Amino acid sequence: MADDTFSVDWMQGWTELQRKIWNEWIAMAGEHLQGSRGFPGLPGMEGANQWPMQWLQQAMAASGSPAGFPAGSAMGGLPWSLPWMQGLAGNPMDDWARSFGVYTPEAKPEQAMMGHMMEAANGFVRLSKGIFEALQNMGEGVQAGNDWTKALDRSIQQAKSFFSGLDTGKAATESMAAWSQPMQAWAEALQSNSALSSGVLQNLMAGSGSGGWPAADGMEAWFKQLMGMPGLGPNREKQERMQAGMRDLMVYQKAAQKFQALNNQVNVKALDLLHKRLLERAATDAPIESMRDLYVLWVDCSEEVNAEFVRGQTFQQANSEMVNAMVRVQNHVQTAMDEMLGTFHLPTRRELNSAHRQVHDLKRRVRKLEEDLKSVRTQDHTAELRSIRDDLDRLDVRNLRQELSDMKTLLESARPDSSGSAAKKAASVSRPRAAAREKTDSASVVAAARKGE
Amino acid sequence: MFPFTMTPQQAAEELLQFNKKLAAGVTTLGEAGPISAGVSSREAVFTDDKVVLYRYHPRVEKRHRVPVLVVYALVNRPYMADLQEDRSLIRGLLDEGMDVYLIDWGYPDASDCCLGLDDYINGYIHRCVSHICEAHDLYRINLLGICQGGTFSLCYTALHPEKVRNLVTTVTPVDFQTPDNLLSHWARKLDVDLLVDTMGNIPGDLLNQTFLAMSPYRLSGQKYLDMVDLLDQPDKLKNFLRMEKWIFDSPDQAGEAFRQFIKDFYQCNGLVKGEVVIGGQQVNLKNITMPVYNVFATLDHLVPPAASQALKGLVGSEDYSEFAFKGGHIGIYVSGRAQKEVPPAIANWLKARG
Repeated sequence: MADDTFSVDWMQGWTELQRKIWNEWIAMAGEHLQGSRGFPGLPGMEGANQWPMQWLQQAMAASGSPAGFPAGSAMGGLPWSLPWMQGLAGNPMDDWARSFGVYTPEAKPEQAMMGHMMEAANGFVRLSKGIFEALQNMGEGVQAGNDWTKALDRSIQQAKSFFSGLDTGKAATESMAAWSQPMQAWAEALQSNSALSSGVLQNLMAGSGSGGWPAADGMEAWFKQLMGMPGLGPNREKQERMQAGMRDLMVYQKAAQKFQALNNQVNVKALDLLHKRLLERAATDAPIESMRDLYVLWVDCSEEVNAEFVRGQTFQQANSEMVNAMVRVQNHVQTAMDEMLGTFHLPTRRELNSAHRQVHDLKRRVRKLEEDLKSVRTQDHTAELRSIRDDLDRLDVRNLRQELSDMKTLLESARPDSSGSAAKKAASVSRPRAAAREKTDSASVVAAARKGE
Repeated sequence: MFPFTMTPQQAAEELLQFNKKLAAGVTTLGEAGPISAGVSSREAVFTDDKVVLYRYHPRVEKRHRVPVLVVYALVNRPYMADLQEDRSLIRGLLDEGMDVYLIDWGYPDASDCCLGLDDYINGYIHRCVSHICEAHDLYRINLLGICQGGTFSLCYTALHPEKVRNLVTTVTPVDFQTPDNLLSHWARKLDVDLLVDTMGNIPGDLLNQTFLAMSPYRLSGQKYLDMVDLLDQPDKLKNFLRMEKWIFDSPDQAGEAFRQFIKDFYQCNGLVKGEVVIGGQQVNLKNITMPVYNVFATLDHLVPPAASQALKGLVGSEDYSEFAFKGGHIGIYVSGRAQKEVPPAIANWLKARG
């Protein structure tokens, strides 16, 4: 029976369990070392599989016993007090991964897959730790004769409290960070393409306290006032641009905080739903049989709450405000960068964009010309040429030329100084003119010829 | 009853086993080697800037007379249509006797930031179509658009109806503002002018994260835990890695094209309203009078069925038909059932129309 199993097994032999796991770990790691194999398929990993002796030594020294668990640690001797889970150097899973030489955060992009897997494993282990602690508390409560539902409720409340005032940087080192892992990834992605990744925002936040810009202490108002002061002197415009940039940075910070707060709400609601589902499963005799079961149930609950949340106006507004604010900040940074580059007589982003646009426009024009040329080359002009030839035949160009010549002669002979020969010349041209008239009306022919010229 | 049956020992053992599997799997992963994708034999027959037009080698002797040009989206890479031997829309079409061409848009860089929809649709697509027409001595060919590529195909066909014999659209957004379109809700409040003016091209990673945010817990966490279970199954692991490679193989988006697409399609829903203007010409779907086959996925979370089905009342064709595949946006190309259903359905529909 589940209840019996719980009451008996949960309370027995933690020390024995710890020793067993520790030994297994040593054996596993030792086996890995003995194998001494590299990872030829992953660039940059060749030969990077040394056993982390330093890591072992630290663990042993801390415990003073072969079991290797720091006495009186916060974990109270749980198996989760293994050194690699205590965040000795930031992300505990990274330490573990480093020990096997497979992945580090600074690894090449080709190793991204390993990174994703390690992050997920890290999340799972962190989550398991939280669950384990909760279960242990529940077990103690039950053993003391308390109702397990109250203990469950208390554990859920405790988990929910983690999300009050959570900030992303701090969360990364907390055991409950797994619960907010997806949102961290999103936040990192947003910052990865912006100047915000330089840490300027974090520095600003650090300077203003962990809560960002507390309205109560008047700092925000003071800052706004400062940033609103009119510029003076020759650097007036620069100062105003910088002020505008700082104002935008402040807007972004507030938007990011608001977004994070909303995401924390999702996590809180997901825990509420998890609580509900656990009670349902208890009622329907469908208990959780493994850590993985519980993890999957939590993921399902989180996705269900998240799906509803991201479809709502509140999220969409907060999301767009944050993204738009982030881009505005980056825009300011880019402008400042351009100014600096210009000072050094280096090409700026604006100049490059302008060059790209000119090349693009030129290419379009060239393509258009090429297409026109191709069209002209490939067009079948035979019919058109035939038509033109017919027209020319109808006009009887040879006769028209002759007639024109005759007319010129007539005009010439009509002049007073050439009156003597006028009659003779007139007689000589009368014959062709008459012939031409037979074919067509001379006036219209002349007009047509002139038009043709 | 108490809702947990696992004992501390069992839980600890489970985690230990998980870690063992992870450690052992790391070696498997390290030895997985390069992940290939795009399996069908093909050759590049035309290039235009970074765009490459491929023609796939036939797999059957008797081929359909009219070739089909596959127009993929700008988001992600087109090898999704030819992911692996047993999961390939392209291969399925080849096996059905189709003469298949595909446009590979390449990876736009900063020099492509000014490329707009006019360049893509009246430029690249049109020149690819013209090339195929000349090569086959045809006036018109068949067009098959995938997702955003389907939207592009609709625009192209509306602008150049004389060049398209039959049009096939698959998981293609037409009505960009159906209530269940999550991407649309997110995109509508985006200051896209500011975004493009600031970034130039839109980084593919940003789009990746947008897609991940639709299901963050499952896609960022659970999926990779599930992968740990595959680490001792090399074939399944390779399939997983291949899909993973495709998901994150996201080219940057040419800034101007992105701007136009978000504003005109997502924010203004211009295709439905007949307000999209490309290259100075209005895109009127009523110009599409040739046969149209609209394939959509009933469980599509990126392009909801209603977004695709809106096409029915908008085209001028009297020969309009639909094919509803029971699956998701990706499953329609890579699931086992899709291989049996989708390519034959498309090929038979095309064959019936000459």
